[in-house]
Amino acid sequence: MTTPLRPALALAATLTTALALTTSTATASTTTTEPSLLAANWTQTGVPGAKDLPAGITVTNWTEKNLENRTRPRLLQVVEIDPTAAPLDLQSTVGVEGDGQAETVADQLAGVSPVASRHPLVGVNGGLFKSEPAHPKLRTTSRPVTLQHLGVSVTDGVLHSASCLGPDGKGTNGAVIQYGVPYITKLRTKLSLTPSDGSATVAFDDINRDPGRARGCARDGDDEALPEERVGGQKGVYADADEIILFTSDYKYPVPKPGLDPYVTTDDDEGYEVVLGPTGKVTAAHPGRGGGKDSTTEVYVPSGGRVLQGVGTGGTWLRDHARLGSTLTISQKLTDERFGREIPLGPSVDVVSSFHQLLRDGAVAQELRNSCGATGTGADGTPICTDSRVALGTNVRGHTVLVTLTGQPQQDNTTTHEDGAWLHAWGELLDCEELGLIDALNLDGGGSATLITATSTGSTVVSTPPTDRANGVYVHRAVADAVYAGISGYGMYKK
Amino acid sequence: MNIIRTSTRIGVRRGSLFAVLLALLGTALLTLPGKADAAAFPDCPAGRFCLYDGSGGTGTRTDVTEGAKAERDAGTILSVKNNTRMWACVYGRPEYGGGLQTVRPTHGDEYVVGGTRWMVGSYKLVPARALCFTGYERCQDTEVCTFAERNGRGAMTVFDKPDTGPSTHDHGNSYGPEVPSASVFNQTGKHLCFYPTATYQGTWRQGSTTYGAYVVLRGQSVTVPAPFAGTFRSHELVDGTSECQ
Repeated sequence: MTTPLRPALALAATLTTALALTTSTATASTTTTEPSLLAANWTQTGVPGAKDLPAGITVTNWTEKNLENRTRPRLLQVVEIDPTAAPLDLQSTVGVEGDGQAETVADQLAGVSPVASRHPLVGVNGGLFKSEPAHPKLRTTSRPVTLQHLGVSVTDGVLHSASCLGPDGKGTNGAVIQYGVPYITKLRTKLSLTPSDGSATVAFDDINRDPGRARGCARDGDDEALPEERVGGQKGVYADADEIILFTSDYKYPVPKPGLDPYVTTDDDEGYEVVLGPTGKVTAAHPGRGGGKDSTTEVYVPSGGRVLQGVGTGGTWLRDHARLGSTLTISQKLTDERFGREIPLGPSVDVVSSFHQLLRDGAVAQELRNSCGATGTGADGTPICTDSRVALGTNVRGHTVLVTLTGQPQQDNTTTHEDGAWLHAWGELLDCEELGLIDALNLDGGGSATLITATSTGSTVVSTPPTDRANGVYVHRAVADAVYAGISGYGMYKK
Repeated sequence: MNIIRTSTRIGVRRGSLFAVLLALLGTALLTLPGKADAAAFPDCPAGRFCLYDGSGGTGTRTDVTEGAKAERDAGTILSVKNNTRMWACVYGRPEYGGGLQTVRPTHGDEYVVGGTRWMVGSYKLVPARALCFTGYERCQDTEVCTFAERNGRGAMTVFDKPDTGPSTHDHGNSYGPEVPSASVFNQTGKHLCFYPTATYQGTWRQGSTTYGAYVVLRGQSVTVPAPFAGTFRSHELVDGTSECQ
């Protein structure tokens, strides 16, 4: 970018101007007329199908007019959700296939309700995740790969993943979706098991992932980061030989067998496996996990129940304290580390996680770093960042806002336009009076970036270009979860 | 509609009188912060939200801590200083109803400007500004809550257990027009079916369409639209919406 940054004061001074009806006058000495990056370099453009958008949903598109070091303009799409203008609520979903299996955002949103008129009105991809390989002994080789969430994931109060430890040991950022808006903060989970035999409570490590091997981030201080050259070039592999992992009833993938990762030994332990009924009563307990390493047997979490797997001392603890007929009490606490308060995991709570808060209290978050996962070559030969971006935030009106920054959608899927921005530049672009954002979280981006809007006639429009290539065409990526505005109330026809 | 004023701006003066006039007109508004600045209110301790019954941090000071709330204030507050890390939400009516003014962390505000007073009816401190715009957080797990204003604001009615009388269903509640229903939060694990009569029956008509129930899905909040808003007289909790009458 060649446009100079605006002074911080300009944000504060102009944050509400575009939205305000006011008789106040700005004092020349403390305000600036310097345009924002958005105003200087972008122009508002038409939104295809705008007249067909459902009530409560407003979409504004901006197209880059000053291309600087690019050859094609990028597209910024801004969706504002007004929960007072229509009966809708903000939610997240892990898809119709349940947790542990990736699906496209389109499939996830379509699975929210079997009734077309109650499909979500707008949605984007959600939190960070790592795809996982299928175990070689799983019978159905065409089964979609499984995944691990990076950070806290919750739908309807059900926790699907422990928090990341974070650089300061206080977790990583997530958006707690409740009361119709996202609240962005650092989140930590505290997970424990209390057996009915009177023994002491013990912490367990995570939920719905391969025991002994975490991906993407350390969950606790026991997780050791493994160098990429030791794990076949995989990024972000963490090993802990002594773990207990919980599997929830909405985990629809077979629970792990030993030896999922040929480069890691800490997930090789045959370990111990316990099945819990709805009340925590142990209904099965045996050595071995997932039907055994060399067996083609697939083990699933029973409906309404849960499964615990232990490796190393974790397996030993389960063997000694989770005996058949006994009871385990599972405690799962979610803490807002910014304010040191617990967030009760009730049925109205959803959480999606990411590492970076872009805006906090109306300004670019001080700690926001400048990073990029995928670069291309700009018009002058210097690098440009082509990471597509997605943000979840709130604006001065207290409304939820979804924003995507991508290349332009193409006529067909044989070609694509992949583009985005460096992380800090993304935060700076959002920091403007025109958008009036107060808080914003950077969601998963790159090939995961997907924005879908519904029309008032019930059809849907995917308005972000697919950038993953499969079978010669570009397709939208299957992702871990999605954030959407859905129908929360409706009139039911008289029977 | 609410009067909405933000303290996020710097170096601008508000049009308080205009804001009040628009409040009376019921017009949504974002106005500008008070003249109070960081240098004022020097006696307000760190980590406290200070409420004064005099202008400019004068008079009697009352301190509350981060996360504090008052759903009904005595109406004596004339100025405030927010020395917490949270946002202060200040409402024109009790129970988080009426107009809304927000005070960002470390800032202050005045409620008498140009001789015009803005009454403080209630307040709360929240970790993010967007949470000022909703009052749903008052509704606890397992409860059904209805509200007098949109977005969970204003007077709240809580249903935490079903009626057991012979004229009611053992899994629902019936009531009169005193129960508000501009918005609803269903904090239970079941779906919620509302009806326009106290006998779990009745219909609504909208054009040529006849509705027999208004559904609020489990865990969901909703600002109730016409023709349903304000008309609920009974409700029941169900496992599937096909169970609605």
